[in-house]
Amino acid sequence: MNKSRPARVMWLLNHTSARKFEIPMLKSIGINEIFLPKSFPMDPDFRSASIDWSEDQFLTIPKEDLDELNAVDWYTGGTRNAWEIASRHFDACFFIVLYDTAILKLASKHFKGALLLRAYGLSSPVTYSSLLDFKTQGLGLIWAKRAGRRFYFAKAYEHLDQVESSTLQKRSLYLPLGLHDVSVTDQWQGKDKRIFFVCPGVGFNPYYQAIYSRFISDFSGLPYAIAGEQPVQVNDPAVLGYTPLAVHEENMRQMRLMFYHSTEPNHIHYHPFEAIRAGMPLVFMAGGMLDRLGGAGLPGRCETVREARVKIERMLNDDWKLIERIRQTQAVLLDPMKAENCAQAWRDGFQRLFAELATTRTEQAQRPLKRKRIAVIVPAIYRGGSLCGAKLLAQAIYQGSRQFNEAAEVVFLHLDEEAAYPDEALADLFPGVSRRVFKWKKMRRGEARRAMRYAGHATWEPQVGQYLVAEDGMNQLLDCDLWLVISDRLSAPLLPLRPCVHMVYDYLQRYVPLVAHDSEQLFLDVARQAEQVLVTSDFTRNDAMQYAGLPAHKVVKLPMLAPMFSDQSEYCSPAKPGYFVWTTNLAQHKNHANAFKALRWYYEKLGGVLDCLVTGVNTHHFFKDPLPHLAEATAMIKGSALLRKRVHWKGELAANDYQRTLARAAFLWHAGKIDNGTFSVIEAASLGVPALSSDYPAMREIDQQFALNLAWMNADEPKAMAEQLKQMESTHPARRGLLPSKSQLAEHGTDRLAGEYWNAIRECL
Amino acid sequence: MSVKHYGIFLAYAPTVDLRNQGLGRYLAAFLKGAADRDDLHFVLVCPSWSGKELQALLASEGVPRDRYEIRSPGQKPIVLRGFEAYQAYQKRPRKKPLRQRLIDWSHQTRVAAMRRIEERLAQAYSFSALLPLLLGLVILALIALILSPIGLIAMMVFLSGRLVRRAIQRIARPLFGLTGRLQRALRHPKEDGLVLRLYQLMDKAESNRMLQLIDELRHVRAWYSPTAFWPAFNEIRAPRLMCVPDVVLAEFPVGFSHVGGDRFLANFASVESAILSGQNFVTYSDSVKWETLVDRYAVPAANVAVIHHAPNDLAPWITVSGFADIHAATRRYCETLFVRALGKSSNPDYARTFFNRSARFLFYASQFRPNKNLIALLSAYEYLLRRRLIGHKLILTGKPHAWPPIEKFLADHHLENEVLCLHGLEIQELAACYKLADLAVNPSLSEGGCPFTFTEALSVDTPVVMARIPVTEEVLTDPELQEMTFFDPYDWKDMAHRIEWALSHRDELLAAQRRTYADLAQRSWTDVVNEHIEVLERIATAGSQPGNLKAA
Repeated sequence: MNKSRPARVMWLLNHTSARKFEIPMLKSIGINEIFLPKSFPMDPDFRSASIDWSEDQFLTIPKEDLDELNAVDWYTGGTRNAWEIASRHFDACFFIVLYDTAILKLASKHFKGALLLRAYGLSSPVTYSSLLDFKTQGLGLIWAKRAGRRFYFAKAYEHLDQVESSTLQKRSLYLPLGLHDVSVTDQWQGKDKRIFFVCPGVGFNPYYQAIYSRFISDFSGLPYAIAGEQPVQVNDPAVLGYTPLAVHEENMRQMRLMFYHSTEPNHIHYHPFEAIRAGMPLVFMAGGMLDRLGGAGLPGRCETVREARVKIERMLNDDWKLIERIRQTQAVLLDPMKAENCAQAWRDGFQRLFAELATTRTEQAQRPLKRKRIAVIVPAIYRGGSLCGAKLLAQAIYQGSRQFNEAAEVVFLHLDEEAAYPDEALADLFPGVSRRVFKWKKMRRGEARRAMRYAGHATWEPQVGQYLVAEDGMNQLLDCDLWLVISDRLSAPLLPLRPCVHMVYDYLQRYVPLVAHDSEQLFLDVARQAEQVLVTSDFTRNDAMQYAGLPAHKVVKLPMLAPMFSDQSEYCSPAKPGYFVWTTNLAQHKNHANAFKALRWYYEKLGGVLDCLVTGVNTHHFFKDPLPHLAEATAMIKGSALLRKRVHWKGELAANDYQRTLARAAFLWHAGKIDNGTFSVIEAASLGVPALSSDYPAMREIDQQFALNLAWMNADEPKAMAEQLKQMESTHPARRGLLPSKSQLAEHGTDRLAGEYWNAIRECL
Repeated sequence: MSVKHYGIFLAYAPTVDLRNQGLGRYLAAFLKGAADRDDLHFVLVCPSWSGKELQALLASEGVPRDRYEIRSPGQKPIVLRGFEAYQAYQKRPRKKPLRQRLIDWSHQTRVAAMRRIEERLAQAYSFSALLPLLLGLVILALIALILSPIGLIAMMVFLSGRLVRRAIQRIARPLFGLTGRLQRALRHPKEDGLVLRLYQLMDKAESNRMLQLIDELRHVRAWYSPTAFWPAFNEIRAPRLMCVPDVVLAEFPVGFSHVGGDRFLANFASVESAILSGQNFVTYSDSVKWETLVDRYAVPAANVAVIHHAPNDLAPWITVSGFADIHAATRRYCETLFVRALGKSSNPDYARTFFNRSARFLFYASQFRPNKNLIALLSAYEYLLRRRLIGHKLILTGKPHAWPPIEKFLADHHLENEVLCLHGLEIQELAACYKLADLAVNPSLSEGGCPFTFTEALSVDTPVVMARIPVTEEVLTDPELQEMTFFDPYDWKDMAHRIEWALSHRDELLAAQRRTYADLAQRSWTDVVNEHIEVLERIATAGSQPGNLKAA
């Protein structure tokens, strides 16, 4: 406990009945400042939830901090900023994981106080360990371990940890749940000869639907009324649904008995206690929690349904002797629920908690801060724009981390292929970013499983036959804290030894049949297993959600990074440029057939005066073993002397040569059909060269982000494309005036955008 | 108040799950409509094999139990019981074969024994400590020696057994051929000629039993058959009214010639026989009355009543109450149901880890049949996805492998991950899909009445676009609404344009369609029941005399 201020606790639950007991209990042990969440999910499972603002008046934290905490949705994990505020002011935090495990993930990372996973018990055979495991693909218990001795399994019943993993057992803290009011009012009269059975959520919850079906089957022929919140309508007149308080109280007075079905060993509901308090006789099944609470020898206890039915029939037929015997003896079940019987455990628990927290805080304060290391992995042989983008990404992370005063080391990894990655290809790697080579290594199931076990993933099981690791000849990138992979094109899933983020530029396969169906699923699985997927356009973001099926919170859209040609003083644009540049490659979506149809029309029918210079990766291989999708374009070129004369194949130019060629062009032509956009138009703008582009969403986004004022054409209509080319002959000089200035472009430089990249990445560390 | 009893005749084949049949849900809606009337009681007569499924259907649809009773002949036919027992046997949790269990047991025993030996060895600190172990090994060796002749004999029996088995197989090949045939028949009964003949005989016998049962139900004033599949209905010696939803096989002869083989042909013959031997009819639309019954089957128009559907309101199945923001709570619940529904996808690898609960999609709920015009819809969808870049998914509810043209189209056009086929949805899941869809679509070329798509979608505030066909024009009559809602089902590009327009004018379309829905919602299933009762009553009081059957 921080001695300079009072103890403060966050109780991040909204359960009305639990709150009525636990908040006064906290106050009784000296914790008077308690934060309660001001929202909860609009989910039928939260039917017992409510919001309480009354504790805010006792909180002595700055109002702006309180306002910020009040605005947070804690159930989906909260925000980093909110947890940092919480860390400043609060010592402990109660939370639940039934709705979303993100709260454990984020709290264990960002909250510096004690974390209490509040456990009220689950229906067998589910345990908190299995639930965490299932919902987080095995990471849940790792997050709990990450919090070390600040983490507690705050069990409401003493035996709850017996079915849990050792991770939770070792951090058990017994904080018993009771009732805020255990007085027996005994206004019961029992004139209504019906069984009162509480079964909420019949219309939507499969668990309660099964209980309901079983009840009406077991007790068919007997009169009953079914109480409990019914958020979704049920077509059964015996299901009461919402009842006003007065009606409910009358039911509690008059219904002949309550039947409690549960044989769950680890979970109990409130309503049996409500019945006992009201004096209503309770008939209950053996084997459940009531046995532990003193119900083992009670006359209302039944070993079998038949026994229950017999007793109930007797009670409905006015066996008052049995009724009274049950009523007189059942109050003993309330004893463990009394506040005075729970208080000592709470005092002991928090004493332990504060002592351990004090020790932990002292220990942590003495630890040196470790600098983070980020691996930027180029998974295949990339050239041209793809490699350029990867280098810019590494630069952004390096610069961004420093802008946040969280200087990270960045390692740029590429395949160990000297021919593909000569030194000059990476000469412009940002200073400070180190370089490392690697090969992909495949691991079989058994190896993968062992590696994950050694790394502390106690429950991880392989889902596929093989996994990939990046073999760098040292420790397989385990010196890095996060792996950022450029693209999702892996031949197998990465072994998840580190948080993995993928930069996915596009989902072209959604629109063009680029990959086989089997590979498609593989790439989707890669993205689905990642911590986060980064995209640079809204169009790709939409595809990530709609096609890859990623939830919105996992996809982060960041502004596109583009290379800027900074010094073009040596490149003078001629007064009358004689050509335009078409930057392309051999990929299927580059629309070669339509482009060449357009060029043919431009030259043959429209008298086009500008030559076309074709540049780009592998373009010099256009005619060499032409790929099937290039057959039509190849035939067109071979059949047109004019095309052969006016179209010049420059291949992949070195950077300086490309800049010089582009600077002297009339304009840049981008004829591709659908992708994530090309920053060749940005490069062109930085050289003062306008561009004519295919009109598709990603290019519109680039146009908007960089204010390029692109000219547009419909890439599906070659004649229209040709007409636009013709028009550019006369308009390109004027279009130069519409280009952004150097300073405007500089606002989108990597150094200016780096902060956004680091802000996204740091969430995954 | 005196209660009038009316009968409903049902004669579905065994293994038909009524929850997946449109007529099943129609029947449930019909009976729920009768719940408001205390003076009505329905007797449902069905085959011995349908009682349980019928009960399950009506329970799952929330039909009040006191409005109907189910009567059926006693025991199921032995052949059917045998078949069901075989099916249950096939579905039982399988134990490993005895041979495998013996191998596993011997392996486990061997491993345990070796482990014990290793433990003893590791813990022995003197040779005398090894003596018990050595003694044990000697005893084991002696036992093995004693048993070895037995082992030898057992091995010879086993080896010779294999030779004997091979010889038996060669001799008894014809018999095995028969058992193979039997197994095929049991696995795919609907495709086996013998099974079909047996079924037809069984069906005839069962119908006779049902008719005998019906004969005893003198208190039933008139009988109603919700479909024209069952000619036996016309043998009931009491006033009868038969519903003819449609005779779609006659309208799509080529398409249906590839579906169901001669079994469907036999069904078609039953339908025609039922119509030709029937007298009083009801249809869901004027279109079917005139074009099918009057024109094709020469039924006198006066003998055909037209009773339109009432809306199918799906909202009660998914509306969540008791929260400050019921819209958000309802949406959240629907998203949970949607995730559950994804688990029923015919592409489980893709759908299993599809975590976007808020995915945007177009929705068409229907089985895959030739008249449903699905290829046109898929063509329109592919164009919208890949040329117009709408980004939406398309969700259907049929089984692609049951309709090869769909399966082939999806594979050829790489749409397996974009068109999700969710089959066997529960009513809540269906309602959730309607609710969450941006747009419902119905491209069907032919239906018996105005498709439920319109009212089902609008009941949960989702707009619809539909094919312009006679039955839709009959109900959605406002020209402006028609302009916004209909497309030419024979032109997939027109369908695509209408869908694209609807997506970008969703609010406008929804507002217009809500007004029409509000009018249609004035009609309830109680009205439908009342109109049927009027007709049944007229038939009952007139005996079997023809008369004007149009509902008042």
